[in-house]
Amino acid sequence: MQHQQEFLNIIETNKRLIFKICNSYCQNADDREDLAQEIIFQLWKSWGNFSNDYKLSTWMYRIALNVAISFYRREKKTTNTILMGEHLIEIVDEDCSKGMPWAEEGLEENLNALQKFINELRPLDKALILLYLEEKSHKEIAEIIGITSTNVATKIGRIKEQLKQKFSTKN
Amino acid sequence: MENIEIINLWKQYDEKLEKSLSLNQKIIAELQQQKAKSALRPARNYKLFVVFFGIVYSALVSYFLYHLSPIASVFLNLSVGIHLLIMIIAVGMYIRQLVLISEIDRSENILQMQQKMAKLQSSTLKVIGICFLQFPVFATWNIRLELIEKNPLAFWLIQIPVVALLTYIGIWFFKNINIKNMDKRWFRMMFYGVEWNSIIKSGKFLKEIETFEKN
Repeated sequence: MQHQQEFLNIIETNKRLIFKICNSYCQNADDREDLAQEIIFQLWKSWGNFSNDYKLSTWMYRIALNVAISFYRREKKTTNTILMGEHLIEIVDEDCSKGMPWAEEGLEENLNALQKFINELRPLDKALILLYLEEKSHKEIAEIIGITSTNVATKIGRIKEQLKQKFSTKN
Repeated sequence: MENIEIINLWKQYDEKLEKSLSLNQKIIAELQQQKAKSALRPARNYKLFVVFFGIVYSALVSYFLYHLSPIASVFLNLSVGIHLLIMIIAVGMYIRQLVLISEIDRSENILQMQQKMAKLQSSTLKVIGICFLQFPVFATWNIRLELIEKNPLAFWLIQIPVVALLTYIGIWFFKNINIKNMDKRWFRMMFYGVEWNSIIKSGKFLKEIETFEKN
């Protein structure tokens, strides 16, 4: 029971991470819901084998991104979503942005442009840019993806260049 | 837009999610109770079925071979023996794939895990390649010693070239049915259709991983 509760707390703390990954790999709300369930299920299944030799964030990103990439590549996306009619992911208040810094003019637009840019990337590049935006170190990104830190730096540099160009043509 | 601005934009998105996002605890609790909900389950079940069918079929062929071998010709025995051997190898390959499925670890680094998954998907092609090796058997099972003695010309001029041709075709397909050839015309014609899509996609993804690793 304590084991389950501990897992629930970790999921609660990292719900934004899960959502951001789902949102980047799925355009459709139903697919997002299915992917979120599959990520949480796989995290739970692997939770018993989690070793402290790893950083929790490295372990979570590896599982979540691996599940997301496999889901993205799959022909038939729908899995057996449990509890029909209820949703795992709920956006509590769509209007909560009022009065907040992101509600400033242009920010929402930039955020949409950034999201659109991420959505257009190939699955492995998506993983890379998500980790970069989450401010993970090159070393940790290398451990999650499975390439060298130098390769991470080169690839991120290239994607950032594309991103800058995208924003400069937009403005 | 500068790097720092992009990072700040993402942070603001994160803040927004912190305020608005909630997860349904009831569904998480249900997920914790689920025993198996794996995307690999249909593939595993299909392979289990093939292994079961393959074992039953191989057992039947072995039974007939054992009882018919004293009365059948040496060519028939040899042909059925080759067919049986290839069936056993194919079943063994499917069993190996089942072991690989059970060993899939999603906490491995992304390239390692995705490469394993894509190779697993495309490994069905290897089984098909192996099955092509039994091609010559279709022209050898009916050869009889009497035929060679009575009509040697027909044997050497018709039967042997047909066996040689089928052997060549079998070996050619065994060597060339490989995901690396997926862009070739004959490959696309042979593996055309929805049922091959996932294999072709996995081949493309393997290429993508290779390019990603290099550049």
